[in-house]
Amino acid sequence: MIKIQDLTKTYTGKTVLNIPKLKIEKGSCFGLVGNNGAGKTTLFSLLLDLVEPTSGEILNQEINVSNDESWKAKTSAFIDSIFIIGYLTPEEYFEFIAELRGVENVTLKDWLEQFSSFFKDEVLNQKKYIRDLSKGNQKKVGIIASFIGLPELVILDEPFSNLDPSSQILLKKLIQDFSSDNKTTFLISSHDLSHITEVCNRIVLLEKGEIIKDIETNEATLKELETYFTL
Amino acid sequence: MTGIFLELKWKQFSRAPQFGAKLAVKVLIGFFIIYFSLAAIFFSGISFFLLEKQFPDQTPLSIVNDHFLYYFVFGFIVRYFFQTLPSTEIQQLLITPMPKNKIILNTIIRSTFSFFNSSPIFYFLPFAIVFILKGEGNVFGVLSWWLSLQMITWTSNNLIFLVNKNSSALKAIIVTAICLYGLQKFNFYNFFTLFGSALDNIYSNPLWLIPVIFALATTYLLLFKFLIKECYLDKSLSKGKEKILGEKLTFLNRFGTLGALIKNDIRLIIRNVRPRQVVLMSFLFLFYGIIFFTPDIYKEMGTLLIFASIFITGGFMMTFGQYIPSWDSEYYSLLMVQNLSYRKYLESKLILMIIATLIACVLATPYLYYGLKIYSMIIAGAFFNMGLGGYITLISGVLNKSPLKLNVKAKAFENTQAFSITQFLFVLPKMGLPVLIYWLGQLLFTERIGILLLGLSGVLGIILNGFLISQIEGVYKKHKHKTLEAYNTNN
Repeated sequence: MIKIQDLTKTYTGKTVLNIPKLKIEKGSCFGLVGNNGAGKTTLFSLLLDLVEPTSGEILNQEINVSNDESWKAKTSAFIDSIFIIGYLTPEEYFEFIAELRGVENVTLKDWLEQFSSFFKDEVLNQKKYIRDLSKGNQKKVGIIASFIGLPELVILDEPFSNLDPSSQILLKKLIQDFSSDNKTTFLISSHDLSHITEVCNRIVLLEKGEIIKDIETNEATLKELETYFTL
Repeated sequence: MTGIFLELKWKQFSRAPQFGAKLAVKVLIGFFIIYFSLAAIFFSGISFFLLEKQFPDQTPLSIVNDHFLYYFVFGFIVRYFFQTLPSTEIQQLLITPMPKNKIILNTIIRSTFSFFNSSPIFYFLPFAIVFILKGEGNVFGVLSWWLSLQMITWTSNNLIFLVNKNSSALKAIIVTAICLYGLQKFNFYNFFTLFGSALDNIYSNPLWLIPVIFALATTYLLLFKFLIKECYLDKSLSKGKEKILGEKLTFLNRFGTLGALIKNDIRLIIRNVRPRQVVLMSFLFLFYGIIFFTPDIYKEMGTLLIFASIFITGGFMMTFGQYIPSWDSEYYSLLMVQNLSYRKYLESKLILMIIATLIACVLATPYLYYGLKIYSMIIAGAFFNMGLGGYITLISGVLNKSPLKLNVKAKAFENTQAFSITQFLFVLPKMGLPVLIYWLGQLLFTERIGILLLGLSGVLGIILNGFLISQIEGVYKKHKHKTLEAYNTNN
């Protein structure tokens, strides 16, 4: 699915990301952990061609993301508030994304039904602009919007933060179900070690822009990560 | 305390990205302000003599007094659209140990020194000084007259804040204004002369200052009490529940992606403070022609008439258009990873500008009053705007790279967040090119052919639209990462 080769990103002489080689298999759920400044968001931004690499290349299904835009048809993402159009209502936002992804309006309405327990009664039919929703509900809108059109690759930056505990638990299940139903590849970053070890089958630990650990998830993984992050 | 506020302001300014460019713009604007202030001072000094000469049977002072109410109402409207209380700053200070009284007092004091309150100093003070220097009026009277104008200005400053946060107060003021206008209209009561003679009275007897002082003090007190009461996050400082506007727009659904993008832009305009303000301003451009078409001296100056014609239909393009794609800066990353080509995006923006230009053409039909030649100039200008102006606007927009906050009111003279030197440079082709085309045409052939050529240049642009969009697409792609960086670090 994803192939990274000799990727580096440097800001005014300081290297913030340096990944000589990384491969992510199709259908896997890939977790990214690391303290602030480890380069998680930078890596995601590079994958989405939001930031230019200083050197190296990223192939998304054999397409070099810097040169060709055709990967956009099969990839979607949610990276916090910069992905939200505040002046739309959640319904209008979903319709807009659906239009861009070629999903019919009627299909969209039916499809959204399955997320009613995730949304509770706080998102749909509220007659509110997204900018007036709480942070957690804004996040829910963004995450579900990234599922529209059954993309093959979904990138989620910190999906669990700002969500209340029951929504976090629901989201874990949503991601797992969506991934197994549609063979979708997920790339997720999080500060919540227990959530991410539960959802992902592979976890990569970044520190100062470099890969420190690359683990197939098992029972010992959570302990291993906790030990690493304990100072 | 004010020192800390000033220091915070300075840091906010000096640590912003593109500090150098912003500083240059501020300096430039500083020069403009100085220029206009000097011009105002000069003009006000001169106007004393002009009024004296034109209306020998009245004193200049009473003429000013009779018209002061117009000025007051106009100022009030301008303030309503542009002046805001810095409520976000209040928010940040609420939990600091600074007492609430002090925070509010500081906000009010700072608003007193706003640019909006400077007209008595720049305009009426020189007037008063000329009056005194001529040795005709009594010094004490003139000074108290001037003081009353300054106090009335401050009163309106306080009123605007009361009104801005309180829609019933606004309604009350509008109803009062309409009633007074009605009384005036049907000659029941001439409120303007009444107001004027009240000001005359202050000049002849400074004791009349007392009601003015009283009014000012009352509004200060009201404002202070109001702000103290509203100084909670869930009161005035919050936005409250908004009504959903522009929900339907379903007719755009059949235009696919283009329709969806245009729908978004229409919603952007009607649901956000800043774009709404800008688009309302663009309507003022429609009246530009009146200034140039009415006086006889301009009748033979074709280039000037063309210049005005371009403005009439180009209002939307020049106000709203110049901030494309900055309007989308809050969520530009989203658009960049969506299954959306730059081409579609740019096409939707062009169509929006073309629709606005066409609407302006229709609204400009009253200009037929000035004759067919004038109207054909307007139409030719519209063709240029649609065919070429739009592309120039799109390029200048992407080079700008300043993010915009959609739902925040712009302040007068602080409207520089999304303003850059490059935009200055692009005014040249936008305004100069059409004038040049016309000028060459009428020089080599006739005036009529000049107008025709201008229109044809637009048609040529429309024919070449595929090629032109590809060129602009290239520019947008080249600037993609820099634009994203600027938008994301500043937002």
